[in-house]
Amino acid sequence: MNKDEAQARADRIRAFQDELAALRDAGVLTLAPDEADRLRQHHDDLLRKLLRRFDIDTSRDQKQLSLGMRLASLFGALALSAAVFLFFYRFWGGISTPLQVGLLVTAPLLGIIGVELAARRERSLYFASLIALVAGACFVLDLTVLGQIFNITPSPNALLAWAAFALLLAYSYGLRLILVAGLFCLTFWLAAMIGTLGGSYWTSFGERPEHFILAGLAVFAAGLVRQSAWPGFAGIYRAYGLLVLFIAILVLANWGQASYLLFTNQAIENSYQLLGFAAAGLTIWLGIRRHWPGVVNLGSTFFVLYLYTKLIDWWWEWMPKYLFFLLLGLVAVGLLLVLRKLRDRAMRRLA
Amino acid sequence: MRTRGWIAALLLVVAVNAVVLAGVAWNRAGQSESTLRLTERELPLVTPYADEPENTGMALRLKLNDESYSPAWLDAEKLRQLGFSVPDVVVQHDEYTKKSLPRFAWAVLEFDGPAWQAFLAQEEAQIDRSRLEADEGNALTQTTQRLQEALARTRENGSRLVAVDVGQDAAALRARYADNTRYLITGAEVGVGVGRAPSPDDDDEAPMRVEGYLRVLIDRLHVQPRHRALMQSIVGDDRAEDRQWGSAWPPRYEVVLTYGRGHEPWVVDIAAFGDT
Repeated sequence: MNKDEAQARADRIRAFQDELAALRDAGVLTLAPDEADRLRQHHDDLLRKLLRRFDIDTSRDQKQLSLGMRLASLFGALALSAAVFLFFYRFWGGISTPLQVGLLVTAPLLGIIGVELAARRERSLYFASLIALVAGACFVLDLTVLGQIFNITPSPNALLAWAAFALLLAYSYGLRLILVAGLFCLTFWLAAMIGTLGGSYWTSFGERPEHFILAGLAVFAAGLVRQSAWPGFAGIYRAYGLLVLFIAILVLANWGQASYLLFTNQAIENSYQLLGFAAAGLTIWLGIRRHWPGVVNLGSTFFVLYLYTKLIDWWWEWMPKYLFFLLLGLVAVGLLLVLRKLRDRAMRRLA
Repeated sequence: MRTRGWIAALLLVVAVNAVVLAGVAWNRAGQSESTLRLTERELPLVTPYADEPENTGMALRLKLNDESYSPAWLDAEKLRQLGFSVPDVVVQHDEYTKKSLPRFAWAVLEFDGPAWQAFLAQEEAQIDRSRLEADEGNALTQTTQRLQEALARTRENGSRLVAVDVGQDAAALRARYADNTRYLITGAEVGVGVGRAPSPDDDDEAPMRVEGYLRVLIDRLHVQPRHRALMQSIVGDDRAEDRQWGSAWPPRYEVVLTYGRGHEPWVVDIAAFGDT
C-alpha cells in the first residue's frame, strides 16, 4: 500500500461512517451496540495504523490544512529559490573566484543533505519538497554562474543535468513538485536535441514550436508506462506532456510563420487548428476510456480554448460585441448539452 | 531506493561540476589559441544584467565593428558553404527564412588590421561622395558634417575588431589566418535573413537577396574579482555603457584577452592607460 491508497482507504472509512450515521438517523439501519463498538474500534485501529505509517489526513479539517501546506510549500520554494539567486548575485562581485566556485558547488550538495534530513524527520514530506526545489535552484545557479565566471560556451547538456538531478530527487522521495521541474528541463532538452537534428544551432530550438510537439509527445508516452511504486507520477507525465503539446499547437494555430511547414501561413494555421481540435477530442476520449480525469479536464480545457480563439478570429472584428458574447454563451450552452448527453449515456450504461 | 537516490544526486552534482571545471582547466592549459591586446573600444564595461542594480558582478562586452554583425562577404556562396540551402532567386521573405534556423560556425575576428583600414577607407569615400554632391549644388553639407563627426568618433572609440571570415573547420581557419595576435577564432551563430540588394537610390524595387548575420556566442566576458578594484578606479560609477553613445572619448583601459584550446576566452590582465 502507498500513501495515495492509504488516503483513499481513510476517505472511504470516513464516508462510510457518515453514511452509517445518516442511515441510523433515518431509521433505516441501526447496528447493535456491540457491533457498532466493534466497527468503531476496527476503524480507529486502522486509521491510527495508516496515520502512523503514512501521515495521512484522517479528517476534513486536516485535508484542508494539507492543501494549504502544499501551496505554502510551493510558494516558499519559489521565494527561497529567488532569494538564493539574488543573494549570490548581490555578493559574488566581492568574493574570490575559488570561493565563488566553492559556494556554488557546495550549495546543491547541502540542499540534497537537507532533503534527506527533512525526509527523516517528517513523513508528509512538505519540507523535503520545499528543500528539494531550492536544491534544484542551487544546481541551476551553480552551472549558470560557472558558465559566466569561466566564459563557457552555452550547452544544452546543462538542461539534461538539471533534469537528471530533479528526477533523482523526485524518484528517491516520491516528490511531485520537483518531478514537474525535472520534466520541464527534460522537455527543453528534448526540444533542443530535436532542433539540432536538422543542423541548426541548439539555442534556436524555441523558434519552431514543432520541437515541443515532439518533446511533449515523448513525455506523454513515458506516462503510459506503469509506475506503481510512485503513485501519481505517471499521471503527471501524461498531463505535463499533453500541456506542452497543446500549448505548442495553440501557438502554431495562431502564428503559422513559426512552423517548419512550407505552406502559406493561413494554411498552416488552419491545419494546426484542425489538429488541435482532433488532439483535444482524442484526449478527452482517451481520458474517459482509461479513467484519467486529469487528462479529460486538460482535453476539455484546450478544446474550449481552441474553439474560443477560433471564434475570436472569425467574429470579433465584424460582429457587434454584444452579439459576439451572446454567441460565446450559446456555444458554452451547446457544449454543456453535449457533455450532459455523454454523462447521461454513461449513467445509463452504469445502470 | 531512497538512500541510493540521494547519494546518486550528490554524485551527479560532483560529477557534473568536475566535468565543467576539467573542461575549463583543459581550455586554459598548454598553448593558447590566441592572445590579443584589446582596449575599452572593443571591450566596454557592462553589468551582466543592467536592470539589476543589486548585481555586483562585472563583465566586458566583446564589441565588434558595426558592419561585422551582417558583413557583406557573408553572401549566398558563403552561406552555402556553411550548410544553408540558399536559392538563386528569393521571391518572398517567408519562403526562405522560415526554412533556415541559425547554425553554428567558427568566426574569424581581425583586430586593427586590413579590414579595419578598409572600413575607414569606405567611410572616407562616403564622405567624399557626399562632399562632391554638395559641391554640385545639393544641400548636403549637414550630411557631410554628420558623416565626418561620426568618422571622427569611430576613429577614436569605434571597435577595431572586424569579422573577416566564417567556416566549419577551426583548424583550417587558423591555418589561413595564422597570426594569433591579430586574429581570434571564436564560436558564432550564423543566421540568414532576406533584404534588398543595396542600390545608389535606396530603390525599394531592388531585387531581394539572402543576407547572413552572425552573433558571437561568448560576447560577455567575466571580470574576475582581482580586477574589480582596478576597474572601479578606472571607470568610477560609469557602468551603463552610455559613453559609447556620447561624443568622442579616448579608451581608458587595455585588456589582455586569451582564447584557449577550446576557443573559450578569459581576461588575463587589465591595465589603465598610463600604467602600461
